[in-house]
Amino acid sequence: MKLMEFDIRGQICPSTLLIALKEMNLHRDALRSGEVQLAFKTDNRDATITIPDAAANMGYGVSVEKEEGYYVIVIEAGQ
Amino acid sequence: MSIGKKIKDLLGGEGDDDTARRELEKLAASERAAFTYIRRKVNQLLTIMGTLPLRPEELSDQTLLELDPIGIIADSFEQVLEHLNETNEKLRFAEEELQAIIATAGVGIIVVDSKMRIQAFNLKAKELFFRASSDVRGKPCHVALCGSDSPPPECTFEKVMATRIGIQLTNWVYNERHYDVAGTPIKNKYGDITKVVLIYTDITDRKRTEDTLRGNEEMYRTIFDNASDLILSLAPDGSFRYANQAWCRALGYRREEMGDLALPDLIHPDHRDASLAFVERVLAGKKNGRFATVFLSKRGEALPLEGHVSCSLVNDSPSLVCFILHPRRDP
Repeated sequence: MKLMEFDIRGQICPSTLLIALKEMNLHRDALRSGEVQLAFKTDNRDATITIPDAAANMGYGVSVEKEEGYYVIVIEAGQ
Repeated sequence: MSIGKKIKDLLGGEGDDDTARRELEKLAASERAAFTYIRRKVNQLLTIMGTLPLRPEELSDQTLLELDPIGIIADSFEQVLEHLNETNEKLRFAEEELQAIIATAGVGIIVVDSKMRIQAFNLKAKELFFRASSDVRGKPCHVALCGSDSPPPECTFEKVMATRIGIQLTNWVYNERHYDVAGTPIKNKYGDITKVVLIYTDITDRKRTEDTLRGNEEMYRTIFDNASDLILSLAPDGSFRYANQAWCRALGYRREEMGDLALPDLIHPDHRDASLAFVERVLAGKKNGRFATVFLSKRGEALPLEGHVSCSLVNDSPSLVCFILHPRRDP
């Protein structure tokens, strides 16, 4: 499985969500088939809610991990 | 060249600078209105997606068009709708499955709303309670089921509503049949109880069997306690399960003391090994046999006994060893 990383640190809502949505739309087929995972690095706390909520509504599986000074939101095929 | 001249040229050289300026202002106003509309719609969509609206300084009009947030959100909504359709299909399938299970369940299931009105019931509930009734949907449960104007004192529904948790009522009697009743609340997202599911398990046959067994047990206990033979039963691990009064009298123990004793404690040391080996053989599959040994009473007196030992099996495993003994008769 390919992991595609996007560093959106420094961006705030709603830009963070728009960037994440754009990538989820672009890689829709590969995401649904489980070929890729998308990982977004963000230091915007709101994005750890808005991006996972939107991804879950689109049927994707989401996990959020806290790193030193930022978060990593990983989006992958849902169950 | 002035803007007015440019516009005039675009308009085919007709008119003057004022006309061109007015056209330009109209165009600019129209463009501002278009961008205002686009920003309003973008913000509306962003709010629906659960995020903040765009700040005016965040994106220039040109960047707004290049980023195409309406297109991004429209594509995202397409995925949301696709996921909703998949979820609806799974829910529809799950509901059909659930309906089939409820319809064929061997227990009566009745769903009542928070006002105690019957909303739904399965075939078994109709067979148990509403066989002669026309449709009872919408009727209060206590009217349709209990036949009373008010709920009975031990009403499962009322207990569920009062405690707000699942409740089990055992041995509820209806038309001379016995039921275990389980009531489970269904709550909405605010925690209010909207429905209560009542499940009725007919335990009449089980209860009759239990009553019969209890009666038989009492009868055999009376017979055993009045028998002159010494009757004793042991679990496979050697612990005492039962001793009749003749046994207790002969060995000098009260019945409640037997729980602290093990078989080896009661056998005379000279006969202990042979007797225990015999019991082992009975447990190993030799299901019954003549048995003779010397027991020790509580006061230490030797008590020669003989009789019969048998082993009960459950699923091919020993469950009980039973001794029926009497004082040994001298040859």
